[in-house]
Amino acid sequence: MSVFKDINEKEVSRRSFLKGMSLVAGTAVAGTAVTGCGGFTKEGEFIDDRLPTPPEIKGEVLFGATPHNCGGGCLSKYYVENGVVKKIVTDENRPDGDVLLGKAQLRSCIRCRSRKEWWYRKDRLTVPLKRPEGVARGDIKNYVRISWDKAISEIVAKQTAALEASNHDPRTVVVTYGLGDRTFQTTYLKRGVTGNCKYGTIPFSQDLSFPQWMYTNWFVDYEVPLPSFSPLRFQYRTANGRKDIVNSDHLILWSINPAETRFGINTCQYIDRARELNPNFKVTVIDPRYTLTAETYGDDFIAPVAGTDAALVQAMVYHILQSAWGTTGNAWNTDEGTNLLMKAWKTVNGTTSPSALTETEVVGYINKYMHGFFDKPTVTSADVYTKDLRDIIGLADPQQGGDKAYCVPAGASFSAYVFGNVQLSKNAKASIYPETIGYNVNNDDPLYNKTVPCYGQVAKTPEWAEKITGIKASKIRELAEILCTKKVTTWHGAGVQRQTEGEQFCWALPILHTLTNQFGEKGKSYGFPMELDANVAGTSFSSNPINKSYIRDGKAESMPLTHMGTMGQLFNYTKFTLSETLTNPMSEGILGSTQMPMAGQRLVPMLGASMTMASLPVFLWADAVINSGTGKSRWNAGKIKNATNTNAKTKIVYSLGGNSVTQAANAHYATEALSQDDITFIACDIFMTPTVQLADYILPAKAAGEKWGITDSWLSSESVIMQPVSEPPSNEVLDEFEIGRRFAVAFGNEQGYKTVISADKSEVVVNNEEEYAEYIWKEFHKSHAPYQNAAVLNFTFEDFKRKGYFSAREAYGNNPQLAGFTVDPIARQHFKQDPEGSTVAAFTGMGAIPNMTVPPLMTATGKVEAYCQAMVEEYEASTDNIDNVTADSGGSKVLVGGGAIYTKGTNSTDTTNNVKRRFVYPVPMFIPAIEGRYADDTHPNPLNLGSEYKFIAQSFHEKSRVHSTLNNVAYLNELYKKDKDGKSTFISPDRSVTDGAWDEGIYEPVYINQKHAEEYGLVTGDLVQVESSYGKLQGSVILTNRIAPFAVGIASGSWNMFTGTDNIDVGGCVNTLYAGRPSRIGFGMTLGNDVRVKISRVRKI
Amino acid sequence: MSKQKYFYFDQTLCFGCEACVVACKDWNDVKPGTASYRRKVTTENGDYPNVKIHNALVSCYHCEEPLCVDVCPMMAITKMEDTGAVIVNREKCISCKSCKGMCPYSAPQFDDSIVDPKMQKCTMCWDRLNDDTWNIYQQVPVCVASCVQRAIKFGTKEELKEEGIDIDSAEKSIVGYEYDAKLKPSVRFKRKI
Repeated sequence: MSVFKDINEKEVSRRSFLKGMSLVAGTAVAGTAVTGCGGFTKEGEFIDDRLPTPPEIKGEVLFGATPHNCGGGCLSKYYVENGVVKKIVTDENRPDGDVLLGKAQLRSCIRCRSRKEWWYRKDRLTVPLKRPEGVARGDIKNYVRISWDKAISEIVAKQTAALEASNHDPRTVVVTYGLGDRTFQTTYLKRGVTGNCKYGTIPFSQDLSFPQWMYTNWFVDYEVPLPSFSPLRFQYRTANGRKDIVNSDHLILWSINPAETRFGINTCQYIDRARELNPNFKVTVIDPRYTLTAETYGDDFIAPVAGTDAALVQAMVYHILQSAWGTTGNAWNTDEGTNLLMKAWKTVNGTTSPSALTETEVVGYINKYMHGFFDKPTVTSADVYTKDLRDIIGLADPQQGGDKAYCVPAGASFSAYVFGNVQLSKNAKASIYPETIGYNVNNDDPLYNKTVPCYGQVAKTPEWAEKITGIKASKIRELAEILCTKKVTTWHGAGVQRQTEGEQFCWALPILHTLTNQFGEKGKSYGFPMELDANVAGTSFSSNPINKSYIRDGKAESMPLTHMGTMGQLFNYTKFTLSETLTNPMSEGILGSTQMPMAGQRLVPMLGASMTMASLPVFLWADAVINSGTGKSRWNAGKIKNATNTNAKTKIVYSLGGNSVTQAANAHYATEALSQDDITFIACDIFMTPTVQLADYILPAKAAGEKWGITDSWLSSESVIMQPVSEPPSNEVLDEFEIGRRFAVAFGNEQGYKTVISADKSEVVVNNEEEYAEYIWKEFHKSHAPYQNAAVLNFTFEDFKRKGYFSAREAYGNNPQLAGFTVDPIARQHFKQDPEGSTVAAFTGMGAIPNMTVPPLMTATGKVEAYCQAMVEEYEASTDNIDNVTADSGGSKVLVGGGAIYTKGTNSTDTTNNVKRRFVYPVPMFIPAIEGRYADDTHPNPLNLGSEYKFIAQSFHEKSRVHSTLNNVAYLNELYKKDKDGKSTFISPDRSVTDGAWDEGIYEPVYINQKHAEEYGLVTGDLVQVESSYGKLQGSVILTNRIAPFAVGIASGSWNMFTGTDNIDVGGCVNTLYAGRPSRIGFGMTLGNDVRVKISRVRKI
Repeated sequence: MSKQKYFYFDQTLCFGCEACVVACKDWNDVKPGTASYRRKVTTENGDYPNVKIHNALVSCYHCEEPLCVDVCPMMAITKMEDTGAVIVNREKCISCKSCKGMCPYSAPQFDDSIVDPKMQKCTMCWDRLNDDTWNIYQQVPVCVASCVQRAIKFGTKEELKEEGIDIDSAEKSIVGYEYDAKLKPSVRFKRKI
């Protein structure tokens, strides 16, 4: 067609043009658009002098990308004049093809398109700054300029002195969590600044965003990563490849919003294609907020009250079990038409049972794939798949719990919990779990000696869940039946787990999918949407090569908490039934450069290394900074308070490309942590964010678009190059690789810093950021060498720079050797086909270990763990679990019905304790969020909040920011931010750096349901105050029905600006409102739905 | 054969991401502020959770009978012969806002600042339409090339027919945009119910 011209003809002319094109190409002129044109009035009069000519398109063209941690990895095309970007468009220099073939353009969203308003702001940090003695933190007018050399030498001197004083305790230096941009150069910088930390710094476990998914995945359903061409399935729970939804009948989007968060580029296009190919394809969106995804893709929208999703799952499981065994739990239903389990398991691995399944067959399937769905009071080695656990069970060692090791005690299984006080015939007892559960907190905590229901004796019927979730019982049954009768993919996102009981849902969902046979086959899976190749250049894993300075004593990065010597046993491996060194989820080893890692290690893409649970949840960094070495922890976290040696006090804190205050558990608490007098705080960033304002030293960094890197979108395999397209604002603004190098020079280890360990263990020296990017690309080539795929190997780094992107899916094409990778992988397929394990080649990140016989699931039992002893033992390795404080309503402090639960720390011989109440149980429950809501308004109120706290503050991601990045971009501001009259506004790009991060009079939107308008006298545009027990903020009201009644919606990431004696945040940072209390089991991030607030009108428009 | 170029907008696909809005501002170097050639109009109906959202992108859609051309006292506005684009010669504009008063779509845009008070509006990205140097596959307005949902198409009737779109039978109005039969804007829709 003529709009796109003749592609073949153009391809020829373009190729001949590109041949002569360097990165600095000639000027393009497009002045011919109106040649021969005249202008006409309506009467047809030709008037030529009205005519302007089309603007000239000037400059050179470069391709690149500037994503942050947004989920996208999209291509931009820049028109550049003299180092200044004049126009930004997206991927448009090729035809837009089929997403299923990897040929869809990588079109960018408003964030990458608005970069001109980001790079060229006048309030960029342009020189290193120092807070002089006597100047208060936060007094940004009085920073003084300092040279790079002097800044680094002063920091190094302070750090060296602090480390010597603490005998190199790893807690002396803390690097807060922050990814910077997706060049991942901050990981290099971290290695640079910690160059003299003999034992590294405290290792952080879990990332901030998906902690409960990651934590439960680790124990419940972690799949052994397969050889290098395999899905990125380490650390994250991933579904089948995105393309596989074309094989599904039904897609459940559970707390995921790809229309707004770019959860992998073009994820929505996959849904569009699935709809086109299968007219019966249906989408159910489950979310408490009516999202753009719900509007555009939801055939059905299910809106549970925020924080109650786990009750929904429990009720679905109940309905399925009830269809099989009746409400009495003992009458097997032989009717194939109504027994949902018979329906669900009718066809397994493509084989359909010719006759109706028997109870034994159905139970056999469930037990084959799950541990602890039913009671198993006497466990034998045949009941588990892992060799190490079989050996222990065989020994019947009393110290290991004897014959109780990994047993599922009577009434303790997941199905027993679901049925409550009614005994299911497949179980040995009705539920032994109590009615209530307490909190493992300090004795001055308001939750001390408080309980909430955990419903141990209640049948989790759909009617029970309806009162909690607000979802009709009939709808819950309908959803359960879909799972038992159709091919279902569930994609989930992060919001659902961001509350104090977030683990429960993340643990229950794999059980639901396993129970209903929705895993391990085409069209049937659950997890994050992902794509085919973990090894493609640009994944966060590939972008984090191990370098020599990263290795200390043959181990990478940091000492695990168990190795902190005399400074306190922060994490006690003796609490585990399975030895730490065996192939098991708790394997401690940390990836070294010279040793092949053990199969039991877990790879962490963020850190480029394997991870151990003997590390500190990143959510707790402020607690660690304030309390390290005091024997205390604000949240009673053993991994912090067990360090009693005062040498463990933190003295140096770095924030490297992370707005740690705005992003923290509670912005006030983080401010307190960074404001301590005895701490030297160093921030490296591009703007004077609320975090940077607190720094002693401010180091100006280059922005994405001014430096080198390779990335791709979340869990997908279309690489894009991040290359300098714009000049930095000053020649004192440096890339992080270079800043890190200067630190390394100061520490006398420049060569180690620059030396990278290749996958083949050879050493490569990279001298600058561009060589680092090229190295990543070459590593990708190296991994592909055996496959001789010309589309990969002929695509050089120079080609990459010129073209801007590389589509693995497209490049793999029909190469027969890569045939396995042209079809998206099926998660847990090996597990489904042979759960006991056969010979597989395990991928460990440093290469494949061929012919290793391991169960495909890397859990303690090799099965999906509906009952998870290992998770409880992990908790007990740092924190006491016996609840001696609280009791059920009758005063009982023991489990119900004479029940007992065993772990190594509380084994079968410890009859005093194994019958007691716990803070953490081995099955997923429904436990109300501390400050949540129920649909029927009966939510418990353990903090005794007043009735005016009737709303839940709900945070989510909007398109106008990436977390807290881009909060000051005018093009984005004006789409969201409001002035005092409720009108669109923006923060002026002409501000100076000393004007601070934010302006009063520019407000964040606060979304409130129309229903509350009258009661509070609100109209859109009013200024409203939102107040929790932990902080107050003000914002501009938007009345809408997209937000639930009794919820206050505030997008995450607005920069806090505390004003007045009341410290009211007029910046609208939603994290000002949260308690910062971590999740119950894994101490993960909870900044989602778990805080009650009250609202009041401050000013009427 | 009419040379008039049409915009075609599939309302069922649009989720209101505003990529086109920002892309337009960037390409045309429209400063942050009140002027914006494209605006998203969102219509929300129903009570939670039974909500329905309609997004419409309102811009100059280059009317076949553009009144703005007639009312401009400076004769600064022209309807182009080759594409049907309605173009303003900003050098001639005296910011009288007569055109704005005549346009039911507020297509003529004015930045309230004194820096740049003259009328500005969608140009159909006329600089992009024949740019053979840097842009051979997407010689369409930047909003069209920006749409992550591929919800916007552009071309003459004949060109759009090749994409399976029949302008003559396509919807003229949607929730959020009413067709003005007198002006005949050059935009058609796939309507969202």
